[in-house]
Amino acid sequence: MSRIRIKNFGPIKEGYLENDGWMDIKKVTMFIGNQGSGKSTVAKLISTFMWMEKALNRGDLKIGNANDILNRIYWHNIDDYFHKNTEIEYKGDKWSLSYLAENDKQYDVSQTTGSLIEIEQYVVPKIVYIPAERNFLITIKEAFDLSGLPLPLADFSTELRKAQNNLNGSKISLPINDVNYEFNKQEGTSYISGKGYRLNLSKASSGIQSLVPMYLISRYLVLKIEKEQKEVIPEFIDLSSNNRVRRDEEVAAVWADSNKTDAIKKIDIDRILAKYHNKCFINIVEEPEQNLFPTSQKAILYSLLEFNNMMPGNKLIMTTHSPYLINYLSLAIQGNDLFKKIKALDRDELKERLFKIVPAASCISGSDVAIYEMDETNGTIKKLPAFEGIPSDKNYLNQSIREGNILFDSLLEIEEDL
Amino acid sequence: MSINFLNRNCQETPSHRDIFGLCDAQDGSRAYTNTDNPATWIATVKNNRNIALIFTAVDKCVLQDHDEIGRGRCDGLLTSEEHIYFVELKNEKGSWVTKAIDQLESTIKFFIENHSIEDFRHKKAFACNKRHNKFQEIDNELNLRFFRTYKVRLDVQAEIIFI
Repeated sequence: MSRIRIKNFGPIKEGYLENDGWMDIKKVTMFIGNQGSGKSTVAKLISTFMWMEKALNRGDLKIGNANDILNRIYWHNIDDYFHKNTEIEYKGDKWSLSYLAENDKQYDVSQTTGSLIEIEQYVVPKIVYIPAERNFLITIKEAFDLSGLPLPLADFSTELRKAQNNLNGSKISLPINDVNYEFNKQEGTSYISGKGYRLNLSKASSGIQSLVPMYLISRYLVLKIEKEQKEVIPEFIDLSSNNRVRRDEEVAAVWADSNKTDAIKKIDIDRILAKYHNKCFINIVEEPEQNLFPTSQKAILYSLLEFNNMMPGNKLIMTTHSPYLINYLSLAIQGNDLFKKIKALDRDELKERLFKIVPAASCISGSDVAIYEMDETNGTIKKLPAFEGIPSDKNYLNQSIREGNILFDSLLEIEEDL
Repeated sequence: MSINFLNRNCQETPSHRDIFGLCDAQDGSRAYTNTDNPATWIATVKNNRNIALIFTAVDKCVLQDHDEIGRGRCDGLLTSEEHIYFVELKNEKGSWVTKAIDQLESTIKFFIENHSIEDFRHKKAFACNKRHNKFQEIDNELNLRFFRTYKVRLDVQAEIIFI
């Protein structure tokens, strides 16, 4: 399992208080906390280091070049967050990276220690960062062609356009409100439709505008990876031209090596092909709940969980301000627990009742979930405790509701004294 | 001491009514049911299937003030052949929920010590307040802990629905 340790970067000071500062990046990882507490910062660093691990694995980056990490952090627009004593360490399945500013900006890369078998099991991920600004791409006409977009948003807009084109003009149903989505390639325009209406997406509600890019890209990428898992012909794998050329050159070099037997050549070529073949999906989503009514939040969470369950190596990393998301995540965890019990006791007749509440495809084990609470007042991070996998009710978001209740009660108390 | 929750002196005759109320005069007398004066109801019982429901007064009857001093008790029980619903009736402001849950928990413990709760298919505990509905927050963890400990589902609201 990948882990990250962050100290003195942006709003994060002491960082994670347990486990010597190392935070597990689980199959579902969620960050909650006030504005400016560092939720997105951590999500962006996870994105950065996972991306670097992938690039190192493929040979895009050279070991020992500190600029690589700085460039990627610049890409995420968080380069001002460095302090003189910043420490960031990442331990991935294959590569470990660290950046310790005090040691004269020492940047270190090494293979993650562990058995060779574990390292060989590194699964190449497709990583996407879905920013909170995603509606912008829908509301501004021609946003796709705008120059000067922040780099993550520009990258995201490219992926969005690929997802839109991939629909080939056909409609897909969105997970909320019986709404369909379609993209007109010639016009470059998105439409939503339902019973008796068809609307340009730029005129739709802000919730739909936020949901469409998030849902479209997540769906497109996970289905693409799933399809490519089955592809045995390398030419069919979607790659950039540069990577395609490099992959083909590496393969040609192996074939030309007269010192290797055909059997060895085949093993080497399989290794090369694997480097260029995404086999899992890391979906990093800022505020999936953005502008959505609670039941729609449930629907999109269940969709994201379903995509996340499609491949064993997939991960869903979210930042949120929504107590509903934690509530619905609890349902998915409890649903999974119940599903296992129903199966063990051979009580299939109960499944229908269960799946009406939580779809089978969206269930998740509590041991695969980590929720981290970020405290902006002192720059620390804590893991939210869980009971049988169910996140504690005493989380920041629920406590905020409780605080509102207490304050309201105080108003009643004052009125009592009138 | 042994406590008989099935003490007939504390039970009202079975009711099949669609709707009735649970009341507590808060004057040292025991809790009771009422059908004709909703203004006095602290909790409303909805019984669309017209199941035979027996109300048992726990505080001031099954458990008298001098019994088990220091241990909390709830106001009453609603039972059918397959239901056992523990009910605490409150008519106050402030932090009543925690206190009500403690009383329910204590009564469930008494019940388990003296009877087989497993005989009932549906087991719930209701904390009800006429004057102040509970401000809603998310209680998944609390409910799961309660359920795991007592096999009783906790519900904080003034409407008791039998299904």
